[in-house]
Amino acid sequence: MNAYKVLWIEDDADSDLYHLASPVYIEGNYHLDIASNASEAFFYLNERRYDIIIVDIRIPPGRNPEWLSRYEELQRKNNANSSRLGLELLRRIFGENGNKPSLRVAQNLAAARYGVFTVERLEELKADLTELNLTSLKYKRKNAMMPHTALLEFIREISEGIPNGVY
Amino acid sequence: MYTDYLSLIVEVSVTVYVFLLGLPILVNQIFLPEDLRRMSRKNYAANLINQLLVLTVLLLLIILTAYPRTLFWLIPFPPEQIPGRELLITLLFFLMLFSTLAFLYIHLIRSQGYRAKVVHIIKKKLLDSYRKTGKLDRAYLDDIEYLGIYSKGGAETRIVIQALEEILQNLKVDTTPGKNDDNLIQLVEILCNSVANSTEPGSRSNMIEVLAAYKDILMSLKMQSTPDNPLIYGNETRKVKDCTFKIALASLKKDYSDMMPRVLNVLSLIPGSSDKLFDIGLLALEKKQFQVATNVLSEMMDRDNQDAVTMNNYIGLIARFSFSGQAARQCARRSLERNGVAMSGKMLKEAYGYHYNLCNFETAGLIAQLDAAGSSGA
Repeated sequence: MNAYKVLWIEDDADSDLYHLASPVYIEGNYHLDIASNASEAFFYLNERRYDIIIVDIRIPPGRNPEWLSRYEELQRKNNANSSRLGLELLRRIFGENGNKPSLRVAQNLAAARYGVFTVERLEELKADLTELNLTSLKYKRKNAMMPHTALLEFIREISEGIPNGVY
Repeated sequence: MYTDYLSLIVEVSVTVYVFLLGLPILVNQIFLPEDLRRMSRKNYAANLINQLLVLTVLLLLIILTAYPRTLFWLIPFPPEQIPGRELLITLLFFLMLFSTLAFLYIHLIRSQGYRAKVVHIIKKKLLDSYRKTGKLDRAYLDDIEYLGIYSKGGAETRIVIQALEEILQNLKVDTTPGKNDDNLIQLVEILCNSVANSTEPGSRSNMIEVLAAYKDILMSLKMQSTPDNPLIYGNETRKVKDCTFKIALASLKKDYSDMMPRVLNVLSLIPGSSDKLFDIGLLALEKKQFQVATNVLSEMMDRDNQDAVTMNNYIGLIARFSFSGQAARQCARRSLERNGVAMSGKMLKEAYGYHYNLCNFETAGLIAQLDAAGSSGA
């Protein structure tokens, strides 16, 4: 039972993009958790240890009041990040404005375990990722033509980049 | 002429009043859904009495003003006309008429979206009862459950689900060790009944909403769990587990096969859910949804879902896969390899006994076949 534990933060993961999860399951090497919004993602990251974490940038806030109010606050300011809560999540995880990272599970704080899998172009994210000092984060762009193994390949790519393997 | 005018006003007023006596029944019929009217133990039309009271007072004033000598024979009214009596009675009459029209108008306006309004009233009453007594009034819970079951799928059921979610948000989870949180259990069940036991054609979006609410409940229970008081292992979680499975069954009956990943997503948060995972896997195999079945097989061996009978359920599903065609058999073998499971005779016998005791005879039979194949070296 030494499968890698993967968290996929994606609001369409259990609907439109579910076909991407199938190769991951059938591979047998991975146990996949799916978080469909920022509230769920933050919960999982604080409760379970993950070897690989895949983040989508455009995710809904979920029902946690904290995330809901953050979302509403960004919307009020007409901030483009109101629809890019994935970035806000990364900010929260890795600390913003000099704040310390805030996750209870230390393993999930390793930036090498993270990958961004999104429709946004890397150029659009660069400024925010630089600000967060996360320019080395693995990135893959979602598009309509991607193969059904896209997620699996991305997971493999991230796992290869983790120093000393996944564990 | 003068007496005729007074009599006419009194007669018309009495007629209007008699019509108004039927108003509560009329309003009740417009305002309350028939099913709720039939079964509710609560009165949702109490405000009508106040309105009738206002109009009764007005009618009495009209009569008293019209016939003071007849009614107040002890009071020595002068036989001639009381100054301004005609004006007064006309004013009272118009006041009564306008009140009647106003009440009717208000009720007609209220009859728009009446279901949402009734749900809102029930939600308010439930929250009031919770604030006062710490318990949710059973009679109101019955009413909201009834509305959920008899609501049309989609927008109507969503109103009930949203009200229940609002109540859930206001509910403080009872963290007393060893004690069930009855309020939470009841709400979980009503949410389930609203989408899984509804007499109306169910809606996929309503099921998704309920599953999302369940996920929130589980996350909250998990976050409030402590080593001394593991809330996530309580009866509230068990209720969520059972209800999630009921929703899964209902969704499969309605051919919402794409609901399964969401169901799986909820179950993966519940410790000791390998039994339900097995059932979902079985359903998926029967419906030829191999993708879901494969995911279940993987999820069952997830380290967060371990329980005493995980291996029995896993072996049961492996047996099912093994006899579902070449590719499924290959997938089962791969799963065994990846999870490092060597199926010993003892393990198979234990799994056989487990499924036999649960009357899963078909699965037990397939495990026996696996055992026989293993023993003969096939």
